[in-house]
Amino acid sequence: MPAHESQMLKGVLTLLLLQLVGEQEDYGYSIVVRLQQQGFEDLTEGSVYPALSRLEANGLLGSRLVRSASGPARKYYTVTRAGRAELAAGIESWDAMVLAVGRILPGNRSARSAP
Amino acid sequence: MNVLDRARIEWAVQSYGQWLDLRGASGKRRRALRRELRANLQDAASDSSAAEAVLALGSRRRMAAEAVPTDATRPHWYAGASWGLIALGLVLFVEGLCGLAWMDGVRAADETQAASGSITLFPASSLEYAPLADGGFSMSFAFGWLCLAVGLLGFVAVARPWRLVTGRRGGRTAGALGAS
Repeated sequence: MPAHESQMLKGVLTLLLLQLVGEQEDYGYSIVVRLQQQGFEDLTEGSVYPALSRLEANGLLGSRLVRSASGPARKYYTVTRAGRAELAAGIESWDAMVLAVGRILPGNRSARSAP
Repeated sequence: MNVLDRARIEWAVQSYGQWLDLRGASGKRRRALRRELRANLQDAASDSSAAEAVLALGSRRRMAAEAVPTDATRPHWYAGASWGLIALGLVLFVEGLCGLAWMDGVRAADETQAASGSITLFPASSLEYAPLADGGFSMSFAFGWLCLAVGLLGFVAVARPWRLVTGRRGGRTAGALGAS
């Protein structure tokens, strides 16, 4: 993955994680698989696991341990109320940024939606 | 999962723990993060292989840096113990090699004569060689205190136990500044 793409992805990773966990209570590796299935094939576990820990430490995610038949207990994450608020604010910022970037990029991608 | 795969996963988990320790993460937090990583790696390994699962993590140092903020006031007990043991092991290894070389020298000179000595640069080490009546020999070897001293020095240098004092003092100063 080129460096600039990696930086862009880092910026929206929080948003993606809050959205995915909000849709379904889930654990680290499963979240990575879901992200990769949705087109983020280059996203590695090494980026996702620390991001989940950080979000939990910041109170945006909650967690509980669930016994697993195949190995050690898995840590399942859920979105907290603060996490939902952060997600809503993040989506709003993202939409505004996509619109603004679209106005500048060649082809005027957001011409239809611009006033 | 075979023993080698388990060892690969455990190595990755322990190295993550060390970097977390160097970032100043508390023991409880380190244990929780290690447990979580171990579970995730085992799941990933069952999908592909342990080698690929560990490779996908990338740098454990970067992971630790992204997972927890730095706390410069905590000692690094875990990393200190690991490096102390490595230093101890290295000195014991070198001392063991020197002892074997000494024994070879004694036997080459005259294997029928008892001999005793010590290794240069390893104070308080002692070696004794004695031939036995049946043609064999016995050898005793005391490693001395240097290996323990080097291990302890490695532990102290990495663990930085003085942070227990300086960190607490720094916290009190910060508290006093905040109050004023």
